[in-house]
Amino acid sequence: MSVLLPVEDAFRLVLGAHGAHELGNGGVASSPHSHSHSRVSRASSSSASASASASASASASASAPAPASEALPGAASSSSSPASPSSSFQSSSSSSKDNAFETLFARDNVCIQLTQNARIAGRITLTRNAHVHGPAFLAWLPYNSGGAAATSSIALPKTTTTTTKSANAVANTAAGPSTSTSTTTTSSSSGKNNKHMYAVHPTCISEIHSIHQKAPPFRTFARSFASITFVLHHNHETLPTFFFVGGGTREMLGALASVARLTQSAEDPTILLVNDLADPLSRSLVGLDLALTGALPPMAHHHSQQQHQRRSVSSPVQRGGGGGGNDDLPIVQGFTAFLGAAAAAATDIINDIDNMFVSKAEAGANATEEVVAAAEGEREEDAAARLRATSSASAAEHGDLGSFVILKDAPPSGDGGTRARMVHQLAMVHEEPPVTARELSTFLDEEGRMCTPSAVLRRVFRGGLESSTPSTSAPELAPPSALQRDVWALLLGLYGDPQATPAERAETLKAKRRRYAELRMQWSSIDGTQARRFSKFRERRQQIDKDVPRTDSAHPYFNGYVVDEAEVAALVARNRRASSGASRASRSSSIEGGGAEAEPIVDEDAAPGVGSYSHELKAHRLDMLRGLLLTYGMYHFDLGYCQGMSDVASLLLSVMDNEADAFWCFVQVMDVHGFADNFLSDENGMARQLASVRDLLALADAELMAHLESIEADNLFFLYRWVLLRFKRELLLEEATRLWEVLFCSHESLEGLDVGTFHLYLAAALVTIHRDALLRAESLDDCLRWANSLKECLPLAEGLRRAESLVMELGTKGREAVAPCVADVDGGGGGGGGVDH
Amino acid sequence: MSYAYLFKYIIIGDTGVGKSCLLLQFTDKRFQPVHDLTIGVEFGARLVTIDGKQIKLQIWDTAGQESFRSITRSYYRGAAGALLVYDITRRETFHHLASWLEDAKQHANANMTIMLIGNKSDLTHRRQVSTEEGEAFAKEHGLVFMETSAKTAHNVEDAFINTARKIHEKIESGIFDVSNESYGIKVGLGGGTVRPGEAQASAATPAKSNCC
Repeated sequence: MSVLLPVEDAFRLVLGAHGAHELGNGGVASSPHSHSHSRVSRASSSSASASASASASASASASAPAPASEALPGAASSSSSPASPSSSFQSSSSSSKDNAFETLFARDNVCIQLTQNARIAGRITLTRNAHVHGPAFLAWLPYNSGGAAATSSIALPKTTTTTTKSANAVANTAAGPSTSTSTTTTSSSSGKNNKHMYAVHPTCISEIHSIHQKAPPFRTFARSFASITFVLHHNHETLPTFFFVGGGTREMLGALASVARLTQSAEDPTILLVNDLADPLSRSLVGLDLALTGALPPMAHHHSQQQHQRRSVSSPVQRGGGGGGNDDLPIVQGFTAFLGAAAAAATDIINDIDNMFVSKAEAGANATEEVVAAAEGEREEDAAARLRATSSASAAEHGDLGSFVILKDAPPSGDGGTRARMVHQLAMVHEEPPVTARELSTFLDEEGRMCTPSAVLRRVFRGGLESSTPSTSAPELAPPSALQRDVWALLLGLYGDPQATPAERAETLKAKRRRYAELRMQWSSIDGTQARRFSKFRERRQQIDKDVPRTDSAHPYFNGYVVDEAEVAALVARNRRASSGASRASRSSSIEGGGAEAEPIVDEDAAPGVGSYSHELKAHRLDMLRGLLLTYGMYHFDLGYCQGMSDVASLLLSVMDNEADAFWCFVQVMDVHGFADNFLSDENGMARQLASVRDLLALADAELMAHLESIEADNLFFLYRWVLLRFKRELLLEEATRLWEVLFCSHESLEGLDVGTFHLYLAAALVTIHRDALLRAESLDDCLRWANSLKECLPLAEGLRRAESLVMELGTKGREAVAPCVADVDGGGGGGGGVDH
Repeated sequence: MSYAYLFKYIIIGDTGVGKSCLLLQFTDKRFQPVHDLTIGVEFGARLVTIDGKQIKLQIWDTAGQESFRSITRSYYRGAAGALLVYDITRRETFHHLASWLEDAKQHANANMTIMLIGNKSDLTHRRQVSTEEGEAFAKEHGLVFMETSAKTAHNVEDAFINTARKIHEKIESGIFDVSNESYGIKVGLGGGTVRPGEAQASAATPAKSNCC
């Protein structure tokens, strides 16, 4: 049962030592303690190092967690006590550079006030996507009373002091400013009070209308600290007022001034009006918006006029095509003139305008569309991408293909260029900063129930998940993070009901792992004699044995890349055990041998270093993949194994790094998210989905569809692989992982969307983005070659945005087009429900 | 790159017989022991010279698994040549040849040139299908036969080029109407180095080049 080793590790990760101990006694897996233990240290190492750095600066010990709320009157300690807890959370909130989001500003000890007597302390942050100079996001998260434990997992039980019951005006005003950015979760569905529900989830600066400052006068708490209130454009709602207990309002405003243009209101000097400086276009649009609401300050009005001017000049350049820089000069100068007030920043701004202009001209989108998109703050990333596109000679080849154009120039695979491209693209996919473990914990109530799982899904849909290690240069070498595993487990029903308590979740997980062990025995106990009389099983096993090593064979994970010390320790332990011969018999057969005895462990594998490749680890991971597929072949015997399944399983395994967990995720993906349809032997599932894409296209772009019909390519066979593996083969594994995360969350995030259908919209969206290339196609063959040419250079970010607007535009018609057939969930007994199903 | 003709090839056969490796050996002259399994179709291309003419081979490498058959069938259309591959170390891949041929007959044009390939000839110690059996099958069905090794590159070049030569012969003898692209042949713009004596080919070239 050595295959089950990491099961316990992950379990321990999720549940803490207590849960793992239980499992150990349960006897499902017998694992050396050194292995499990070191895994735990891996999970907490980041927080440990972060606290070290934090204590240096914050001068306070990290050990004492802050009370969640404090009774204020006479609490002398209230002004100083919350200084410490932040340090234990820094790891998750500030080490996000690997995800391309840099922290521009962070301040601890920033409180919001619930009632006159109750407040919650937390940390305010300002982050920005560093790669694409995207918009900045403001967020505030309350401290966890769980202390350091809070960083590790969503499944941790929370023992929180109860906050004051009455949610007051603050909570009310903290309601989400718009649908695109989920802000404070005010609805407490479980009826339990929870300070986490006051968390201010990332809010784009472009959504902020103005800032109201209050200097600290006297006496009552509310007035004894400087405070800032953010007023949003949306209905002029406000975020909760932030009280800067430890000071720092000036720094906060300074940081905001670096990403937005702050101008003092003529009427009230304590009010600062916000425009987004990072994007002149959207800043001007903010002005437009203000004009509509009648609160237009003189400067902003000026901007909007300039904006119109710029637009009218821009159209001839658009037609000029290609977007040479020289054409833009007059416009830039025009801009410069009106920007006299901001002379200091002028150079940067001109560059920005230039970039924006060139790229927009190339995009060739019509002005209305741009206004909408820019107002939503979504286009900056494209702008940066397209800027790069203009520098490439082949930019004009496919017309308005957006980021596709640059990506096409990237080296095909495996080298630095691809990685840089990938990081860039990953950064572009998400509009919001990634969800950190710390933020995730704010979705739990004090009992650790996830009250609003759909809110989590929506946040993941928009922001993705923070990676575990900052490895910008080589994301494929990053280990799957504990956070990612947790969230995927949640997304894919591994924990059962997300609204269960951590203890119940642990029970569910334990039961599933036990059940998996049983299912696995169904084939692992088949001996040679039985196999000789079981041709169906033999054939299936032979095919799986052949395909497993041919799946993601170039990826570090499946080549035994050693991620950290924990894995080294695990290997050593396993080798020691193996060489003692104690568990030799229970070791499952090796990949190649098809039932043969495991190959002897060689000595040079005894202590591989971090960053090296271990044959043993490679064999172990391939063995997990093989085991998963063979077990599924038993679990769903009628469907069995089909090529393509190994691709689905490998992705899940690379995330979960655990055979049993990945198996149940696989089951969920097959049954609930509709993958099983793809593998029906009559190919009807694929035919239906391609027909769905065809119907979507007919609605979205009838001209293109008519052309495809005329060249007999309307069967859309050229999209076969896109649909079959939901773009996994068109992307690098890390990109595909991010994309699937988005797909798995999509039905909770987009209204009226059915589960397991968003990829069809995405396929249609990508086709319409490339309509020019397809309109030139003269045959199905041309289309096939076109589709293949996009391998590893899909314009994913643009595609997702387009797909989302398709969902909105097509409404019920689109929904009918993609209506899924009822998933065949025979014998799904242990499958567990989806997050909200 | 100018070429006189472009031939569309398709590589078919059971999963795991080495189709992708044959293509890689032919286009890149290298062998990759582990090649991720093919889903859908992959493409390769190479220029070869037949009778002094530059000919571009556009090769479609298909997925072998049964469950992808309906999509594989759509690739047959417009193929001038096919490499039908089996693995000499796995007899079942030889047994399945008949059904592959049946597919080809139904979905490809009747004049498609089919080359039967027994791959992995380097693995002599694991051979399950003799050369004679391969030859007999080819003779029975009117195919050209060769044993290859994608690993050692043995006969790989010849397999592709001999097929091209066959197709070229058919063009020369007027079997193909090269202006009809359903035969999997396109006439290139450059026309390669067409010698004066070859009336048919040179006559066809200008006729087609107008509309390319």
